[in-house]
Amino acid sequence: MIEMIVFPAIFIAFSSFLAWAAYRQFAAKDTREQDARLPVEFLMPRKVQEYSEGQHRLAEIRTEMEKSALPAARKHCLVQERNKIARRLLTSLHEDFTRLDRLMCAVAVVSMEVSHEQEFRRFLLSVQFGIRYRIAIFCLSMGMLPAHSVARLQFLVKRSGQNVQTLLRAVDESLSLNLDSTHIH
Amino acid sequence: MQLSSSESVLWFATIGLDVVLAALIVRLRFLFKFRFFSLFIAISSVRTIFLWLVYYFAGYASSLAAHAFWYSQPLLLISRAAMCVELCRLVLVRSRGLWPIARLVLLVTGGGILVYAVENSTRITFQIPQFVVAAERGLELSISSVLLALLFIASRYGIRIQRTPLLLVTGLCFYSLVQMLNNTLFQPWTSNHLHFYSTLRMIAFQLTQVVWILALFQRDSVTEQKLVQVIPLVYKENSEKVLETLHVLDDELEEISRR
Repeated sequence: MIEMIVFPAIFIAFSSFLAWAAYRQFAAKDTREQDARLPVEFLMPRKVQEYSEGQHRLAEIRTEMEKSALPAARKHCLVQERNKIARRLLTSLHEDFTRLDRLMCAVAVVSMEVSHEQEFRRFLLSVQFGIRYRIAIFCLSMGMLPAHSVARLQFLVKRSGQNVQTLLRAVDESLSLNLDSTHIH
Repeated sequence: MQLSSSESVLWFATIGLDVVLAALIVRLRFLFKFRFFSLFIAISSVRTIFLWLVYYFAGYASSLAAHAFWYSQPLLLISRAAMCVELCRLVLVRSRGLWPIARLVLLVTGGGILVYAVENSTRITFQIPQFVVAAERGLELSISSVLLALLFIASRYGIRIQRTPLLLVTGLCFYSLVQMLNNTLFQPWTSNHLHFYSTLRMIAFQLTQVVWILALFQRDSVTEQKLVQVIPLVYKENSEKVLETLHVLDDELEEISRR
């Protein structure tokens, strides 16, 4: 009896995945293989101007919210705006992660030797990060993310952005050197 | 008992599609590129024609027909498993660094489910139909899991699968999934379910054959892709640093969520 439930459920789940994966393959272009050759700025298309403006605005909102005599309507409006900016910053953190992960995948595909352990760890990390990101976005949309987290987010995104950019440059430079004389596929 | 007219139509359609596939494999010179696929089509064509002759002369419900069907079934299953291995190798072998990892993942996936299949089929009373059906269900699940794992790896690493192998993979995986379900829902050794089992099996196989015919007509399959060029040391030098950075990003996100 259990088999009559388990196997049809497996059938539905697997068929859906097959349809999705086959569609993705049909619609795919060689984007990831090209990612390895793209300049860092293209891999990190975050709009720097907009980003720093967002950070500046967050600081302003925080200062304004610390004022004691603030009408409730104004406070609500500020919270809304703060959450919107925080969401944007969170998304950029996710984009940084995804791009770096994708870049390493592209490098792994064209490498002679790939570490089992590191690939496995990176895969687990990407799954874990994906879950955490979705939870954080959910908390933010429900208004469950406390105010001080946003201030921390502001600092963290700035720092990690710099880290990622430095590393991406290193990878990109190495790739450019090696890809000048060769090409992928 | 003879085949009904609707069953005869299904049998003729299967034989016809098998012949078309075999002719295309020879005509388009896929014989050596997809050896196990070609072997599977050859076995399937011969078996289908042989079974039809047995059904026609000895009758559908005769013991000769039952023996001919169930004893030839394992041969078909083994050739299908070999085809699955061939497709995985064809898709991933170009990436030399990734291939050992992918091979390990696919072996663990397929092997794990095969262990279940063996355990499950040996639990069943040793009668050929029941045993073969249980073993087939496990093997079909194993094949579909391996092929889906292959598609997942290709998707994660951005490996673009050429149209021909992709359609072959899609067709094989679809047929394996339908057969897994078919073997669960209908017990083909009981005469009540035999008609449904047989009809669903043949329709699924015909759909698969059509997908495979489309696969053989894909143009990009004829030209060989250039081999992957090696980037020495880039992965080695950067993977650890990148992993650390990803860890930092993940920790930061955790920190945000926790506060």
